Amino acid sequence: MNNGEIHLSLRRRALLAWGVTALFANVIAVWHRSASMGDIHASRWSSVLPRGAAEVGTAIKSLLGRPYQEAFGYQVARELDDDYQRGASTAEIRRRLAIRVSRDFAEGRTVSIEGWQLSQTEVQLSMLAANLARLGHA
Amino acid sequence: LILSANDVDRSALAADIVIIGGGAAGITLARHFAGRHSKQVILLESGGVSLDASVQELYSGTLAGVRADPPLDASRLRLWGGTTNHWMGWCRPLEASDFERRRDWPESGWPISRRDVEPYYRQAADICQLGTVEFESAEFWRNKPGGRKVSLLPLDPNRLQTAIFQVSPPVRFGTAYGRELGRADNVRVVLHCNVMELLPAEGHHPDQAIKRLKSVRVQSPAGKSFTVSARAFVVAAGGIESARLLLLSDRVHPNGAGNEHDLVGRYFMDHPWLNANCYVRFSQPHIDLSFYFDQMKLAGARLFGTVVPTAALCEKEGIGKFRLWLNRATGSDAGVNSAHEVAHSLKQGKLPTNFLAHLGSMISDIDVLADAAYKTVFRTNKGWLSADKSAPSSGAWVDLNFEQRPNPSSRVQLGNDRDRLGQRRVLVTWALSDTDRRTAMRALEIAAQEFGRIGLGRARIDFDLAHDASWPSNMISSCHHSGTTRMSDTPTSGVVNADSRVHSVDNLYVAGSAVFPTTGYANPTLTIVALAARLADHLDRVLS
Repeated sequence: MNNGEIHLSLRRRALLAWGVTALFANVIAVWHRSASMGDIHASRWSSVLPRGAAEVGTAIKSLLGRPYQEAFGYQVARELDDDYQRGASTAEIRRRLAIRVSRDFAEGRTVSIEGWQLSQTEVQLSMLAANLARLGHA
Repeated sequence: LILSANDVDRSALAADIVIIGGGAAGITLARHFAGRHSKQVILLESGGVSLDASVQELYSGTLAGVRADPPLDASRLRLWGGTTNHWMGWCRPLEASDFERRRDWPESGWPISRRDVEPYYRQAADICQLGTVEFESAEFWRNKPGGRKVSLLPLDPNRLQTAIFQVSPPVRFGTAYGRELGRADNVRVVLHCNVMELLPAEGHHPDQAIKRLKSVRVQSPAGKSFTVSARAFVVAAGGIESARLLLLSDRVHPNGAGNEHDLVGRYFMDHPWLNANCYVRFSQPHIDLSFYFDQMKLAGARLFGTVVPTAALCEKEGIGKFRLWLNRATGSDAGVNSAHEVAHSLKQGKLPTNFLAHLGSMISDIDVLADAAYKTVFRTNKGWLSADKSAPSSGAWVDLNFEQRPNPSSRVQLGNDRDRLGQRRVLVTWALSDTDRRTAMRALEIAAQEFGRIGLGRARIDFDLAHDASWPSNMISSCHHSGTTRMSDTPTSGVVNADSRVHSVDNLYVAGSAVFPTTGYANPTLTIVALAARLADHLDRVLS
């Protein structure tokens, strides 16, 4: 996925959404720290996330409901963390993510964001990137 | 022999076969008999050799239901050669599965199979001046000189596949075959000849199970009226006008010729066409989609690829067939996006909130907008921006054309208005259903998933067709009017039988897309010509 390109088309939406999400930023940050960010390897994840994913994730988060955000944000985080624990390299994790994205599309696990048909995995990754960015790990 | 109805100095003409309509089907039939002196043929055409606004106006009518351009007097042409005078020339046979009955669509299924039509597709390919009759094998084309350019997307064959279309020059049937018919002394082409009604044989009673025609009543523009009698009659006047003529012929049956079961005019279908409602942003530059973007010249043929579904996928999803045509996106798409958004807001009677930003995008991309408008209005893929094929494209616009589910509420009827000849004009109610909404939506979603899976890019779909949602304002008709005298096994499920003969009239046939019970995704002309050639063979046999 070329997140830079999607970022361009979503920039307007992201800016509008930014004001709303900013109101909740502190609350979310506290919640992140207390929930699961303490025991995961956030800085290493950043290296596997596609460029521009944080901006896309921020825009996406403003479009999805809170429960959906939570489910999306951490399901992929747990799996990524497991990979790291097993000693997988960044390249290996990227390869697995690419396969997972491809499989999402093959099996119809897609999410429509402003008409863009994205795989669940890439939406999860983008939202994770947005969370990390807010915590200073981008 | 080609003459004008104004020059006919008799009150009656006679032949073995009367063909009504000088388009692709009618001319194909007449050519079959040209020079075979055992059969005398008269072909009656309302128009002349050039377009005449006063004749074309006879095609005006009321379009109800789904509002989609073009109007009825622009979607077809009433002159010698018929609508082939403006067709795009795209050719592809129907799939074998298109002829079969779908379990989930009880109104589907032809009484003939693809195998029955196969030899006539070969004839049709010659008549349409295609290179060769090869549509299925990309390998065949790859092995031709220059064939390495035939590069296909690695689509999942269980879901989507590449369908090869060939492009006719396009053959203008009137120009291409008029001279040949003019030389044939057993064929008389009568131009400026409006068929007013079909007339039953003497002693006829409307309650007879099987009826017989004796003649047709015709009228010239000058008001001269005469009859033309024959042993067999073929109505080949197009998907709307053929039904109209049958409905007007109430001396054969009070409901219209062949209309004992109220089926004439019903099941009207077209290929709904959604242009540029889906955009694919490529994941990487320089992706080679030239086989899909451009018409390629190979071994004397012109061909290109489209993306279509498998029959199994359609049945599993409960949707119609569809065809995706990929168009190179050149330059920015911001202007086109803004134009869509502004148009959508204006339709709802308001300006978009960020109107000035949209206006800026539209002005800066005015060349792209103008190019898109040109291609839409003139129904062509040859815009001026597309001329630079070497420019890397950042993405593609997806053009969706799909099969409408047969629907008895979608119909051609006689309206209350009358034309200047005193004939009732048509009222066409084009009714699309939730199945059709689902087809459009799922077609693009499935394509987006498949494009994502193979790493081509990400797709954006610019509409959402939930239950009862309005169709996008830019949806147009493909002018593939079909189904109004559908072919069936029984008189209670269709108008004509497997031989294209009207079930209840012994010597009346219909040629053209009016007989299609389902349309598949392919453009209809090649099948129209193939079925006309098949009907010609049949008439040869039964009239011998």
